[in-house]
Amino acid sequence: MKKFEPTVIAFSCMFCAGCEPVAAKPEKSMKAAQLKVIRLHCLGKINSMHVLKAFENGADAVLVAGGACRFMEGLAVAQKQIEYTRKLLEELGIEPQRLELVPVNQAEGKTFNEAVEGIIKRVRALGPNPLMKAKKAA
Amino acid sequence: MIVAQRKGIEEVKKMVEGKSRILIAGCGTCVAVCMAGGEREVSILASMLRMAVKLDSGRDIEVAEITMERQCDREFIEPFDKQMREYDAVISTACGIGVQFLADFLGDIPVVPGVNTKFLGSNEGGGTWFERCRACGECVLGETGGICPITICAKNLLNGPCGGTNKGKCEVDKDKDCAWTLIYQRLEKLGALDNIRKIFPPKNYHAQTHPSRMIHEAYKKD
Repeated sequence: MKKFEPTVIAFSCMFCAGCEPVAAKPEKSMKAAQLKVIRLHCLGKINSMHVLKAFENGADAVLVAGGACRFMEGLAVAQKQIEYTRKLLEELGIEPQRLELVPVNQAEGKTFNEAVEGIIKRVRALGPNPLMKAKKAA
Repeated sequence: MIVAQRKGIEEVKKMVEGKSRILIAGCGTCVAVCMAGGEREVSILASMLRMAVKLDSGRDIEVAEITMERQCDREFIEPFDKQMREYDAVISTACGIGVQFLADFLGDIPVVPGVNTKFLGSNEGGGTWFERCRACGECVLGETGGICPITICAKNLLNGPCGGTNKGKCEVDKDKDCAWTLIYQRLEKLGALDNIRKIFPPKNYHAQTHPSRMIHEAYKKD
């Protein structure tokens, strides 16, 4: 049986240079897993709509990363959105632990990598996105 | 504006059980402003519904999305007529008015609500709405300094305050302001404290018939 390698979608602030895996040496497990980074002009642009679409399209985990906001409130706005989205995921029966917001500032590539590592580890334990399992069962 | 709140996905899912082609119709007016049924919320509901059905039965269903400017005016609905009739059911995220209007318009296609209509209110700042008007049909705001006793007072008293007022709070709910204390303070600021002595006759609720209809003679078409 093929080993489960999670797909992680990372929504990251384009102004926080740390939110890129290239900023630090990627770990082995990160190479195996699929990491796709979607850059946002501000973390405050993130909405439940984007996160749900990522899960709907097969993401096993979603990471939202950004730090000290040049637009002042981006991180705070994103925090509320992510909290709300976790509730929506729970309502659907999708583990909210698959979604995480991590504060990362400029030149903190290592922090970003550690967050990706952490979520990959967690999702490996949880297994694939329940939607994919439901698809296979049907 | 009309304030609404999204329905839980289980309830929505049940209402469209067995349907394979569903359209979610949003409204770009009040419910969009209160983040319950505009374009963004339509997209969220569509994703949630597709996922909920798939998780439940492994079935893929088609959920399309549209948002019209207003669902309570025929001219805004008509352009979507043909498109809407291609679906087995329509979930309207408009207020109760929009849902009914759309159901009347479509006739033989089921239209179900995607939100619960809560009240007529104002935006109190980010993410908070507060009820301001009960649409009683006989406005007294001119006498009460712009504060509605029918809405804000828990007992809807036209002549207050009652004996339950306590340091500006209401005996029904200590977290709520006493409407008549607010009215007194506002009238004082306006230099119109004499208004507090006016006795309002009981409201003639009997004169209010439902459903109400209003005709503006200048615009009525024969």
